[in-house]
Amino acid sequence: MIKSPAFYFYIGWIAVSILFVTQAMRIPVYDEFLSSGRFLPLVLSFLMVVFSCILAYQHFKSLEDVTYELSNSFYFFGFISLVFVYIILIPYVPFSIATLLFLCISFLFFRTLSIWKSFLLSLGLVVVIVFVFQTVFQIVFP
Amino acid sequence: MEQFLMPLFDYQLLLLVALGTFAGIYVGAIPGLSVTMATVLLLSLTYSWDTLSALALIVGVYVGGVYGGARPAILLNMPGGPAQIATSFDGYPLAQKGEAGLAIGLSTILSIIGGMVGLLLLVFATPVLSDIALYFAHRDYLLLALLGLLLVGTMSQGAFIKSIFLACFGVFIGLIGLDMISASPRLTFGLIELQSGINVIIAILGLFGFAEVLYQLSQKTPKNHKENVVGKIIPPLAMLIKFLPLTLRTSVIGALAGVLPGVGGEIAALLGYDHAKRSIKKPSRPFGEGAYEGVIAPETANNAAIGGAFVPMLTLGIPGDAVTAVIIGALIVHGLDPGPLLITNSPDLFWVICGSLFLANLFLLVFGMTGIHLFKKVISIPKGILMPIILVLIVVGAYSINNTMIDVYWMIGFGLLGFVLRLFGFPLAPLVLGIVLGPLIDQSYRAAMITAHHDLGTFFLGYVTSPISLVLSILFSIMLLSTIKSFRKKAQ
Repeated sequence: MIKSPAFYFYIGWIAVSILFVTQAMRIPVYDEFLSSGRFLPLVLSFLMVVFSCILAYQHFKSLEDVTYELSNSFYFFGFISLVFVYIILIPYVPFSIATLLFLCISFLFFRTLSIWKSFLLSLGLVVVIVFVFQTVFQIVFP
Repeated sequence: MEQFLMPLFDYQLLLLVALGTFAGIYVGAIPGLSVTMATVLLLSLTYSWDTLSALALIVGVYVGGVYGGARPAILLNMPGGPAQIATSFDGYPLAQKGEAGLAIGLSTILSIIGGMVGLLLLVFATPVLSDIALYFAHRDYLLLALLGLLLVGTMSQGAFIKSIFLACFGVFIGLIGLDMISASPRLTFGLIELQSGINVIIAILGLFGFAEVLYQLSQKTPKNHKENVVGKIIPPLAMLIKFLPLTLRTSVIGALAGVLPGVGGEIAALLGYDHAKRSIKKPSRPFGEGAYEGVIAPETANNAAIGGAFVPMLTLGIPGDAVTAVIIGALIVHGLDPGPLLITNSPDLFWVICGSLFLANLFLLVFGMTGIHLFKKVISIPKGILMPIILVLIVVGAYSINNTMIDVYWMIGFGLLGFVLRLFGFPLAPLVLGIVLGPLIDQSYRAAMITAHHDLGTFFLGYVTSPISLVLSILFSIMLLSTIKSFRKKAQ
């Protein structure tokens, strides 16, 4: 049971809820407590502690296990890695180049298109995205 | 009447409404690009135009944008904005069953009825309703927000405690930022980036967009996988007639919700969905599993809210929602004074807005029904191609809100959280609902408590002594009891 991901999940939520209580306690009360900025966050964080304990209790009592069905872990983790690299790249490389690389590598990674088709489709998409967002909506990309 | 018909016979206004509606549909369909943002951009573009032309274009974008957000909600489980969160509950299950076309067709035709009901309200009930809305106190707004929060019960999908927990978490997140009274940082964990709060669009993009991409990729082989087909688009007449009573009821609910300043289409849509869930005993399918009623109700309500949102704007100068707030800015830019004298001084403006709303709803039928084919092609693209494209659009959408990468990081964080929560059987909608309603609950509660001089007795007495508060309290009590009853029934 201790090794179950659900164990860490529910304990994690209890810890987060307690952290929220401590944050709520730090909000200063300038006038009356009932109308202060602390009242609602404190009530909510206490409710979160109570409900996270109930959820953890319900889970451990029934010992129901959650089905973590990652039927395609290769594609899943591979894509997440690509996304992280893309997000990290954006501030350092021009947006259009980072997006072109991300799209092209993703299409090749999923083996849905050939190299040339992947490159041309990515290029077309980047042109459209940059035109719509940068020219029409005047968004300044990094 | 002559001024009402002006957009129909003035080819320039007619074209601008058409262009606005068309553009609005596609802007609204891109997650992250809100109708408000499109209106703000138009404001700068139409600065040198005459007022009536600028308004015709903006009204078109407004109507098209609110409608357009339903497309990604139904087809990709990615609401275009907060007003389409409820649409995705049943819209996406319908798409998975291959009935997305019918869902969009029904919601398009019946949304127009919603829009017309909102327009009728704007034309005939403007003076009366604006007077009632003026008497709404802070405690009444608190009850309205809590009424919205009761929807957690209907969104729980059987996981009631998980939903309440996530709703609390959502409201807590909604409170992050600067305190509206003391202006001091609250719940920011010492981070400057959190002082402006967490944008609800970022949360939606992460929880419904990125999490959905991850979920789709975790389930099946992306290669050569095809989505379900859209199916037929034009609904049979019998179906339209069957859903007409619900459409009319949710249209009235949406229009009335739109009249209340600051409430907007998102709460109108949630109230519409909740009404459908409570009033329809035998839906076409169970709610949450692809009930047509679950798509029609929020879509007609949010469209009807548009007409309602113009009521306080035109009569009191108070915005009904974010878009009408921008339109007030547009009127000021054009040298007009929004307020009680606006209609008296510029009746042509009022009637051109009404005429443009009428036209935009008609154009919705043309562009709404024809554009489905384009979306049909989009969703038949293999996941291995579609998911990276969606990811780029989500990243761009998140970035474009404030032109900062911090929002992209938050979106990724919300996406990972949403994916994990989904694996553990947590419904995500209560979390978003909490984030949306959190600031309204906090502001209205604290303002009501200050008005009651920090005295709980006076605070609660207000709910009995004011007729509006009393009616809302009774309504709230009935809905609370009904939620508890339904939960106990499910638990047994």
